[in-house]
Amino acid sequence: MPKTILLLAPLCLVISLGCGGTKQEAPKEKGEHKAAHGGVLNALTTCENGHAEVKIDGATMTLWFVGGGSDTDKAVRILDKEVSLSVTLDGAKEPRTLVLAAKPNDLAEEKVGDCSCFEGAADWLKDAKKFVAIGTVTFKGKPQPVRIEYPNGYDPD
Amino acid sequence: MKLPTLVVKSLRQHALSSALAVVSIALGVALLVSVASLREQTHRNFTQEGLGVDAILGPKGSPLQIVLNSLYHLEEMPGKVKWTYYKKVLEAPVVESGIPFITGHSYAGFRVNAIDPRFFTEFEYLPGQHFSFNPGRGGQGRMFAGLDEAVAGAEAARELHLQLGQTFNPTCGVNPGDKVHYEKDIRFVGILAPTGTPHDRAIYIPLLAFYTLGGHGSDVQGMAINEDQREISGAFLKIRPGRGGGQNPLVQGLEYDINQSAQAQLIRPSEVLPKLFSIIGWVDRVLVGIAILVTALALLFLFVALVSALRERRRDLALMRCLGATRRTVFGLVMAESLIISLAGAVLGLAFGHAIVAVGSEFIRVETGLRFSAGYVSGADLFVLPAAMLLGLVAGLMPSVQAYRLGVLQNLTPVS
Repeated sequence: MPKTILLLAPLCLVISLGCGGTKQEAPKEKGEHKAAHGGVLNALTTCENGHAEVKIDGATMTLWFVGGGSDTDKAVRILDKEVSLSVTLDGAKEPRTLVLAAKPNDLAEEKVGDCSCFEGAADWLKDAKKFVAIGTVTFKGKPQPVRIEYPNGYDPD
Repeated sequence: MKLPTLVVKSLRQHALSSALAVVSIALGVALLVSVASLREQTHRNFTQEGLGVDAILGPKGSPLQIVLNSLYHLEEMPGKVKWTYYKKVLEAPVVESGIPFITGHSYAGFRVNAIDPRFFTEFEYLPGQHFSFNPGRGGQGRMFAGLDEAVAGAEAARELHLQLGQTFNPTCGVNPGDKVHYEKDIRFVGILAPTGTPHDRAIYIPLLAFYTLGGHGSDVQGMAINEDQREISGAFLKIRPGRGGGQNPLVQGLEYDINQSAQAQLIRPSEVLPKLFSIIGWVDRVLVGIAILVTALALLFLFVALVSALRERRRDLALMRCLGATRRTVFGLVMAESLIISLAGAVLGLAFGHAIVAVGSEFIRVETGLRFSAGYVSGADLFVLPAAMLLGLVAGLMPSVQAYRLGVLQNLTPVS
């Protein structure tokens, strides 16, 4: 009889532990940033300062300027009417210039000159799998360098 | 004599302590089962309720507050949204349709919401479920057509004993003492069939009726004709489905675009409501903890009862051994008693727990409109019997081993 009991006990334990358990989401890693549009986040100088989110759709590049830290879902408007980028495709020797025009978010009452979204197109973007783009924008009231590393993103921290 | 007969006779002999042990285990299990059932059903009610609505356009403020106000008729709306902005949102390709509403009025403790009549035909209170006035389903009358007409939810109608044709005057606010709009009587023309959702606990008037209620200032009354000035509390939005009928990924872009504005935000209830449970999650963890503690105490009681019964029965067991009972028989006797008491307690506790849910669900339904089922099988229901078996075996193990090791000669020695 004691042997039977010793066999039954672990069985009951397994049954009781196996039933009624609840799944819990794994906590998010500290410092993890989420791209609001599913694009690639690139820090503007530092991650706490702000980000440029980049998304390529065919021949079109869209660039959103968003907040730093955990505020990557909050737009940051900039005064520039366009953003000029010097894009060096992976393996290319010479950079190309891509000018992105302001694309105001109508639902946020943005306008050209007070806008967080920019868009530009070039045929060579269609085949761009990897590139580095640099430029300058007036972010948070002062000129700041933009560095985009596609598709991995730029994170100096 | 066979072991089952011996077990039954032994339990009868100690009927009082055995019954007390069963009852104490049953109480602990009942508490555990009822807490788990109410917890799971509350979670299901809140998350499913939100799933009937793709998104809510609301003012700036707490998203949870907006969801609770618009879908559960609790709290107050933190602000207003311009009608022109709502119309602009409707132009977004991803938006299929919208149902604007205004909250903030009440009658006899029930919220009075001004809403677009498409609420009764297009709104899904649960996925695929529309409101009905069908008498076969418990509804009456029709949806409102004129500005002086109203529709009542099933629970509001039942509690206020509302009849079609009856009139009322809404209160401008949701707090006791707020001003009543006596200037115009509003007549009930329909009662919705029960839905088992908080919508049963509200009264609905036409959207434009809100602006024309006597007692509202000229600026509000002007909103009835001037769309540029008009304001609403919010709107339920239907989002065009994505490929294969799934969630449209473009809704994220719309959410981002709207949330950057200074006056509105897009809220997806299916994302907001789980956050509510992460906030209040500690409450049910405490309740489950208390229930586990009560069950543990009950099992401790069982252990003590078995040990004391064993002390009383030392001579009886020694006699049994003399009459041919083996050590295993004695061990099995005590173990079987423990197992039967814990299983009986668990079964009784299961029944009692569901009875608690049945009684409690009626109170919850009256207060919140949420419907709970006493027959709901929660996770706790599934593991309570094997867990009771296990814990019964653990509680009985030590007394059984003592019985197994019982010295026949020492215990047959005359006491005096």
